[in-house]
Amino acid sequence: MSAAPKAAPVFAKKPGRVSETQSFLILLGVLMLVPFVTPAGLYGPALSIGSFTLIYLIAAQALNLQVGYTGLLNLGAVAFVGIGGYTAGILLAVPGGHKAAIYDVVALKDGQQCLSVSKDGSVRLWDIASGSQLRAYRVNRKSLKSMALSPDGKLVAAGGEGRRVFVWDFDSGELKNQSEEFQKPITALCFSADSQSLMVGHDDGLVQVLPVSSLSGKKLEGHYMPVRQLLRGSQPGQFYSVAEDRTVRLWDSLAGRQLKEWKNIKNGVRSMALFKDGERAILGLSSREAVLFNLKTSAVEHRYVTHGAAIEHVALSPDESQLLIGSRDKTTSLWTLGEPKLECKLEGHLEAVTAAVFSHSGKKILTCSTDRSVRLFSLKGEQEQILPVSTWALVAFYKRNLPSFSGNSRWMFFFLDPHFLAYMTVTPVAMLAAALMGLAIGVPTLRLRGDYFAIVTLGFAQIFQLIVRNEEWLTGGPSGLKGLPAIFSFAEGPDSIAFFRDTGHYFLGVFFFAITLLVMLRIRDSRMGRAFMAIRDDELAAQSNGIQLSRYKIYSFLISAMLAALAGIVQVSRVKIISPTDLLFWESILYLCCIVFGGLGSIKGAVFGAVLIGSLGEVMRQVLSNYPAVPAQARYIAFAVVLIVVMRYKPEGLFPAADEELERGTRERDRHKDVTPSLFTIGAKHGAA
Amino acid sequence: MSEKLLEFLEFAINGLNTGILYGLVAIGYTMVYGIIKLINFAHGEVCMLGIMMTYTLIGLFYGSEAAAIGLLPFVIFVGVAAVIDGGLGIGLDIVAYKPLRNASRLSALITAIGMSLLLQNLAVLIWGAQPATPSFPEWLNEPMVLIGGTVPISYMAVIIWVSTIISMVMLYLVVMKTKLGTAMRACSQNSTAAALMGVQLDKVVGATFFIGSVFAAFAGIAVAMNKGSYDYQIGLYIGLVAFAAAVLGGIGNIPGAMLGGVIIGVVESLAVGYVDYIPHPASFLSADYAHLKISTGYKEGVGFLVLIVILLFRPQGLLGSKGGDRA
Repeated sequence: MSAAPKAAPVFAKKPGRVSETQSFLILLGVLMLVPFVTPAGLYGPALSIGSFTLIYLIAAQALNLQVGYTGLLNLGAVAFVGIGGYTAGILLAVPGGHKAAIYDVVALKDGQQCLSVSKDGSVRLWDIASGSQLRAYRVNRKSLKSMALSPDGKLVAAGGEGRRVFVWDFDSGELKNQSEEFQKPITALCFSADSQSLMVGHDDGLVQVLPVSSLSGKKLEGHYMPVRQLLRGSQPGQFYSVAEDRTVRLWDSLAGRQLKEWKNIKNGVRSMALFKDGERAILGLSSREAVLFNLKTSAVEHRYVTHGAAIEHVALSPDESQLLIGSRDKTTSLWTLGEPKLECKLEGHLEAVTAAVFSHSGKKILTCSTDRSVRLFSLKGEQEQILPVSTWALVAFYKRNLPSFSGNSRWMFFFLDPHFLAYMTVTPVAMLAAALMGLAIGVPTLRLRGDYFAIVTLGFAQIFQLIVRNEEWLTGGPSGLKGLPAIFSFAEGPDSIAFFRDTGHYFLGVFFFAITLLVMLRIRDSRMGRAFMAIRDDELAAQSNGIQLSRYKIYSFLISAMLAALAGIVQVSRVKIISPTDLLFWESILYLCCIVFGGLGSIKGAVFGAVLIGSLGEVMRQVLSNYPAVPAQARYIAFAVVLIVVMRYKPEGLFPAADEELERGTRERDRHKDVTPSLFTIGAKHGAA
Repeated sequence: MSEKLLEFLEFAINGLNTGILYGLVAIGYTMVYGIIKLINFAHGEVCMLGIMMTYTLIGLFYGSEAAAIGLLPFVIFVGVAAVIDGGLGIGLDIVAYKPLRNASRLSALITAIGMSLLLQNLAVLIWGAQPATPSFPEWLNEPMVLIGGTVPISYMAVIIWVSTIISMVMLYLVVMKTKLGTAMRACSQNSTAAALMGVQLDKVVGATFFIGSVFAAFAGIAVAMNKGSYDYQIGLYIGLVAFAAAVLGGIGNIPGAMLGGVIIGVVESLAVGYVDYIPHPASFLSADYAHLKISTGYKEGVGFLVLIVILLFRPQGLLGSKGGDRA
């Protein structure tokens, strides 16, 4: 094969035609103008599509550098985009507080402090006003599900998946006692009125009464599904239990027997709140409703229906005039009891609400959620405080140290905006992280070629997706990182400038795309670019001409990864969320489609392909969602068919790189011969020779 | 035997069972690759279609009583579906890959990815996206023997072992002793030369697709039975792991594919079984992270991890030969 490195391009511009550089400048200009010519009503959808397309434009160019320029068929490009987005996300919103779902909260000192228990194996005491953590009660390597504070305020007990009950001294935080390992996980805990014994509910329905001193004791059998809550009855020694098996039971802890049972409740009982007279109770059911239940007559006296998912917790205000219902639908509802009326919905949690309680005076409401936050609400439903899920440490740093501007023209000082500066600070770090990952993938795959290389890059991307999905403490797990800052402080919140709310992320996208284009153009016309293409065309020939294969392949990985990370940052600024669904295998394939449509190695082609696949795909998704008759799969089927047809009839793409080279006045080349770069080098045209 | 050993044995046997199935699917990849040098990315989808068709047939004849199906009718339905699936494999080759025989390998690979996307979404259109529970004679999952009184070996496992051995022997005989097999081997060495010697390449490729697809259909059903559910995405997962298995064994090498499958299956099962013994790296950072454990969710990545590690040391795979175009 005779593919020598190309000679330096000679810019033989034909008269009367725009040069390539000029046409890209025009493109960028048009992109910049889009927000100003879009009618105000269309900002949201149009610019959402716009920045979505920009993500594709950037990612496709980055992949083009590898597949098109260097001939490295990387099937895991999405991992580079993902690591960029995740690094930026983690740095912008540093995870703080509990590291996993919070399951229960107890208000202390009239809502000034609270205790929360989390899956991360800790019970924490918070000062609510300052949002700082006062104390932590910890167990190593055991996740917790339930906790109880003794009535005398001296002990804290908790238990969970670890199948042990732990008891701490409230003031010193010292672990006083722990039980033997039980058969099943612990799902509910409650102290007796004299703080001398502890009632424990298990996942299999078993209820136990344990003296605090020894933590081993009687078994009470009856429930056969998880016990959800235990609470003290009105008589000493009595307590109620509610369970998923659709029953409520009353027990005598002293005699160790069941006193009464209420069966045939419509659904599993998740939570119960007892009136002081002991005659009525509120039951929270797994069927999206809470009911007012008369314990004397076993009749349902009222239904509280408003939630869209199972009820997790119910609580009565101290004067029994109001009711709180926390639901898995992320909201809590506040009701007036006398003449049942929905007062308001407390919104703000990003995931299921697991508990909602009143402070002792009944003037404040505390809710906790699997989203790792505890929130304080007023009785009017206004959110007053969030206990740290994550802190915008960088944003806060810039806010402290820079002048702040106000008024509608404060956007002119965008370069001093704390949000923008935070984004600009994390960008290089995200690029660095992506580069490191590029190195981690590039070095082991140096010796691999063709199909082997493709499958290993795919494997790396899959493993990266698994890491993101499973390392919940860092990446938020399957639901991803949420609540990230917007790109400009004036693009968010009540006093934001409307124009920038919808366009901020778009401008960032255009800016990064411009950088990407510049890098791609400069590389193509440089020594490095020619080395890349020589490797693509014939590794052996390139090597024998003095090109160090491993060095240039690594360069290709590094630069491509860094550019792809930019796409990830645009993604973060666009939706302020990054989650594993952004890292699906098909995304890599769609980026590949972009450059294959356009023509491998062609910058213009990748632009065209990304606009086609990015915007058309997103438009189709938004339009198709209005026609339920057309299945959502139609979009993918269309992509697949186009992909197959293009490969069949125009495998070199719509703007073959070879044409581009001709236009740029490089060496004449036989256009009919070997237009598609033969990626798999030696063996490609000779079968298995 | 000690308890620890029995536990190990149980994990290893479970791993062997799934590994064999990965190997059976991998054979389809490796045979096609051996002859036309194409990664048939849609092979996992062929496997998925085998499952779907089996249960469509069973649903057609048994309706709501599918759970009470006997062994014989079940085997017959699986057999019929596997043969149809084999036909589908041939169809896939004719429609998608045949026109691209002389095109670049990238075009063929992208077409295969396109077919995979297409088949998956067509399957959603036809069968819906909801996971379904496979019905089969329940007693197949009951233990036939208990090793050491605790480690069960189910009827299903024994059937899989026996039928795998039989089919591997048959495959060996076909490839080594028949005219078709000779043609296959000739094509895999040099398809142009073989064609010049009078071998009808298209027929050989068709036969390869047929055999691979039938194997994939059988293995797919067994995977669905093991897993207890199946949906349109099952092919993607089986396909990726099986492909890793084929590459691990040395792509183009049939015993290699089976070996790769078994290795991945066993390592996967052992990794999941002993995951609690591996400390989480972040747990050394601070007490805040002491509760962290390595998740069993990494199971799907074990195959690739093994593959990457082995390719570092043997870029041509375990049993692969150092060919010109393979690294």
